[in-house]
Amino acid sequence: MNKEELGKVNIDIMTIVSHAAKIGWETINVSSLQRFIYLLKVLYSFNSNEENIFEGYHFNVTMFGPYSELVRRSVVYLLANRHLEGDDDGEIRIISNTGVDKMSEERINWIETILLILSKYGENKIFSFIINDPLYDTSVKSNLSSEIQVTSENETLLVLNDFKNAFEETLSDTSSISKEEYISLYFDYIFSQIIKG
Amino acid sequence: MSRQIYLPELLSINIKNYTLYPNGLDYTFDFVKGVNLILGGNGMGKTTFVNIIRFGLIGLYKKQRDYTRTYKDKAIIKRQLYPWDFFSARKDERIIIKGEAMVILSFKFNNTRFEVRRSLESGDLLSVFVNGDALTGKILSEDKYEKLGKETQSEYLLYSYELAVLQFSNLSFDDLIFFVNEILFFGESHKTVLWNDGLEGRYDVQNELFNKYFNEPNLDIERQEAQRQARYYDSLSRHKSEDMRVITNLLNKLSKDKESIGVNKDNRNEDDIIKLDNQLLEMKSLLEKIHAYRNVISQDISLLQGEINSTSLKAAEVDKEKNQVEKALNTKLWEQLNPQYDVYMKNIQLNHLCPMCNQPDEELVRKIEQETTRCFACSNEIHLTQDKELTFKYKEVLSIQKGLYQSIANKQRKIKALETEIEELDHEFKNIDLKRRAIQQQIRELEYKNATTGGTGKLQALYDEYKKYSKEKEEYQKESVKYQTLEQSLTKQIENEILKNVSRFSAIFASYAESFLGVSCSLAYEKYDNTMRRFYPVIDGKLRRHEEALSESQRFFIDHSFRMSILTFFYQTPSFYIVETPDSSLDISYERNAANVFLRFLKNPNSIIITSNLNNSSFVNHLIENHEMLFSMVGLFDIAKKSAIQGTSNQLRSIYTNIKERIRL
Repeated sequence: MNKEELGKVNIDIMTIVSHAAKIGWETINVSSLQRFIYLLKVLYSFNSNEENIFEGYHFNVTMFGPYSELVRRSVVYLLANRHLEGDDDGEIRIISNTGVDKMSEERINWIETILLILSKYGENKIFSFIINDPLYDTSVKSNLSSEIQVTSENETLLVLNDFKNAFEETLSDTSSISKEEYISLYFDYIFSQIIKG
Repeated sequence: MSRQIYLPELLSINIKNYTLYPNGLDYTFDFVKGVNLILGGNGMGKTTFVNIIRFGLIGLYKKQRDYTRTYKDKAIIKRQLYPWDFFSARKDERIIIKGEAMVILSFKFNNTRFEVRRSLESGDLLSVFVNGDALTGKILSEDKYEKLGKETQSEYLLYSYELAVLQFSNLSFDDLIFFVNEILFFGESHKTVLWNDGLEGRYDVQNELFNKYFNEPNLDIERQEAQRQARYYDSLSRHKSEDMRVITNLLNKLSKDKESIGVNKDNRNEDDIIKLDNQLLEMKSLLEKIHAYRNVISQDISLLQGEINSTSLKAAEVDKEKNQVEKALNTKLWEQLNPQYDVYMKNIQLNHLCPMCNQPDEELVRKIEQETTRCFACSNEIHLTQDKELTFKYKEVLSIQKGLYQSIANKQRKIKALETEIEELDHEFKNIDLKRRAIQQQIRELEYKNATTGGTGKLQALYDEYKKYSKEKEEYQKESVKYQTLEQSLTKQIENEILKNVSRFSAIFASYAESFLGVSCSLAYEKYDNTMRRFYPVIDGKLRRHEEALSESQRFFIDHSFRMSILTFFYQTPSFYIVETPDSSLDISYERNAANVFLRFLKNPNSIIITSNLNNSSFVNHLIENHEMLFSMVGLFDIAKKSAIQGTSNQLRSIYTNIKERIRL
């Protein structure tokens, strides 16, 4: 068992749960956490052309949405060590500060950005985004039993990039807004376009 | 959009004057929508009977028209045929009769009735009636017909028949040959189509079927054309490599003897460039190989990772069940347990860490696996109960849980090993790539030197030739890449269309395969080894890429399921499925399930035609015990040669008589 790998995931999860608590989510469901990290990974490739810093997570299509074994292992570790409390298949809550924000500025910012989008649209909306996510959709349609391939030419990105061009046409000046604002506006656009209802 | 096609619905067969069946010289059999059993002992002509059905539909055609795999141009090969005397060779020459041996097969496409008469002597098509009207055209053997040009073919009956098939079934005659030979007929050779990827000279049915019938067929023609062009240019570029190699060899030979022909210093430079160029080529090909191998390993890892995720999810379910059983076992004792006990146990199982000091501890993992009912810390018994049923249930859940976690750990180990292999490959790749860059640099320097000094040596003509080939080679490669890109984009289009149908198709497959295996089954549409995506069966959560992973009978019935799913998917009107001796490899525990697969296919009005020598009579019994099912039998015992009948055991004959009685009832 690779402790180093587990350690990194522990830090991610502690940071996510801690930042989620700050915006008023006292508890978070483990399957929401799985979806959240999936979103972190898939959308990261859209944000940056460099290597995906969430590469270590491997997701599969399941009835409950994306699922990674690593996330479950980490939650169990954090529960056993009383950093989190709750249940590994239910709601969890943070009860320590260990590991929180022990990561690069970039990683923290990205987690915050995605949380921002989440808080704005609510979890159900995000879940329907995942279900409508072309990459996820293809995996479901093909009955894939291997992990979902989040690569630079993945289908979500192709679609998101198509939207990006259309979206930028709707903005008068992209240079005047911050990166967070950009992403937030962008998602306004995305949701208005691809998620019906 | 998948195409709307009509497959043939068999109505009746009449065999005349065929002395293989001397007691049935004018034998008629009416097909039922249900089970049509062709029952007989060895040598009675079971296989010949089903071959006559096939012959009635498509004549002696063994394989439809197909493109050759040569790169030179799109040469089309002729259809392949069985020999003309395929049936006459089986006649019993001792019996003299008047009149030609022939078969008259009646069938329908949608609502149009066809009656086809073919000679069992010459193999010729004698007449075709469509809704009672005779088609016109001259009679000719298929062998000769295939040698004719398109214009001259049109005056023959074979041509009129092909046109009529296209008109009423929406299938070209080649499509019909394909469907009958590859899908509707599971012959004695028992070749499966699901796993067959066209290697070893076999026919890639999946490729043909899904590219052509789930899509506009033109798209696949374009794709094949692009593929051919890519191969063509690639091979031209290889030819140039070969030419370059010849010059290199020549130069090497000459350089040994260079003093005598007076090669000057300047030319040595060119010599070096060519040598380096050759090294460069070798390295490039080595790098490509490493890259390809790395991809294969990555795919294996991805598959294992996927299996870990799904096993982990199952394990989470089992964990919940275990908790419930534990609570039921002894609530009092449960309360005495540390509230964190359960999560500590999971931490050991999942992370292999001591829950107290968080150090890796494999010994502890083994301990909790073996002493499942004892405390992981002090080894005292913790779940005591008098309730035998609950104890049994508890042990069962624990054993399932143990299996799941072991399977995860094993897969994780495999992934680690593969990852190490990838690291080594990457290291090797880097080293070779470094060398490659150095050589490239050297070549550039030498070329620069040449350009500034100029070369006018005696071998200049050879060097110029070499350069010319090298340039041509590059151009051919560019062309090849261009067509490869086109092929990829067309492939993507085809795959996207198929994707729309995967879940429906997989659900149909599941309904068949699950009734045989009794575990969850589905089809995954995946891509391996840079080929096109294909369907692979997923059985009980595990993807079966190779048929060898299954037992013989599992393999056959998964393949039957796959073929029947195809027929169900395209179902418009009744059709048929012929299986030779489906019971030959069946293990007793699967007989009923096997019968259920066929009965499920018959939920739509269809005909199943099965040959059997009653080696395994309970399979047949399972089929006929369903009284709602229509059932009929070709009594080879009544029509076959006496010698064959006499050689048959009494036991077999009595079973035959029994079945005959049951059909009458």
